[in-house]
Amino acid sequence: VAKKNQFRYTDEELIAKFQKGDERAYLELVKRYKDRLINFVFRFVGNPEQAEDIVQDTFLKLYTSADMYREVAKFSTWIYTIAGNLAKTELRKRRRRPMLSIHEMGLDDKEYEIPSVTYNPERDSNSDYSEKEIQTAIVQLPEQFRTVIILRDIQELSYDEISKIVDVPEGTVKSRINRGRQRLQEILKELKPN
Amino acid sequence: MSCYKFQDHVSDYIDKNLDFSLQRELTEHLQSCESCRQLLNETQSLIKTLNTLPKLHCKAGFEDKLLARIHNEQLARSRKRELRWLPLSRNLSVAAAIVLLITASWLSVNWLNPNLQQPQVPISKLLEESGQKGQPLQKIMAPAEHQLSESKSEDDSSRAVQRSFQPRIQLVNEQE
Repeated sequence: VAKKNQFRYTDEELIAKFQKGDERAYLELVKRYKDRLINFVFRFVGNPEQAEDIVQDTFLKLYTSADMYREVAKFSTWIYTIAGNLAKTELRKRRRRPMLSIHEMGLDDKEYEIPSVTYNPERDSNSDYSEKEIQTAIVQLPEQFRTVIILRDIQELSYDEISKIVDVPEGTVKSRINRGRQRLQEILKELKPN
Repeated sequence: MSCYKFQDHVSDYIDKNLDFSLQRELTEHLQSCESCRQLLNETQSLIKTLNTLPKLHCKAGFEDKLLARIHNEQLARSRKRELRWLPLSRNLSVAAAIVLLITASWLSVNWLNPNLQQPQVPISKLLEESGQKGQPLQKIMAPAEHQLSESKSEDDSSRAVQRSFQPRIQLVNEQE
């Protein structure tokens, strides 16, 4: 959460400045959100190139439709909603095209700065899965579970924020997260039975 | 408590989002249920794995690419705005051409050929003249050729000029 102090504007202050024509405020918002959004969208669509295009589209939309933003909503929930909707549209388009192979899913893409798996937890059932397997399982989740799992367990947003982004009551978010986690474990077990 | 109930609340149990009595009920169930303990461990482990997945960063030049796209978008929008006016200006040109054509043809018929220009003489005056001269109305309104044929002394060219430029009603007056 952006803290207001002498040197740092909140997201809402920045969008207000941009609405008045300050383009530096726009660039500051891009700087703040580009990595958060690319991680959200990449985990959702599974392809870094497409994820970058979607994040570009999101910021383009922010530029052209900044007037649509009203201060009643937090800027973060608004921008995540735009990115999520564009990602879903992209997936719908992709469904009409032939299936992509795992390699086309983009996890081998060397242009992106995906660090080698630095995660090294104590030995447990899930640490036996590679990042690629976990990503493959996430992409196989139904969309309504995938969105909330990414927002909660990868982006670490609050239930309240997720509820506003996906526009469903908080109770529904909790239920989807619970079922999504269990479904993800089932998919992982199907991918690697032993 | 059934295992189904535990499954329904496992995430809330981890996040401690339950009221005290239900939290205690689930804890008691865990002590006696191996499969639910396994579910709890797996879910906690999954959350930890997801929390610590490697983070992706945007490629260098992300902002430059974005600014170029914004610039192109602005150009496309201004072109679109111009194109929106194009059909209207085309229609206006067609309408102006039609008006010009109609005006030109009206002028060529009515202005450049004065023979067709008839002075507006009230019919009452014509009837009055007809009565004074004892001539039928058709005679007064007769074509110019009828009067012109009588002036044999004038040469052909002056007659032609007279035919072209003298209004018919004036010829009647000259005869007086």
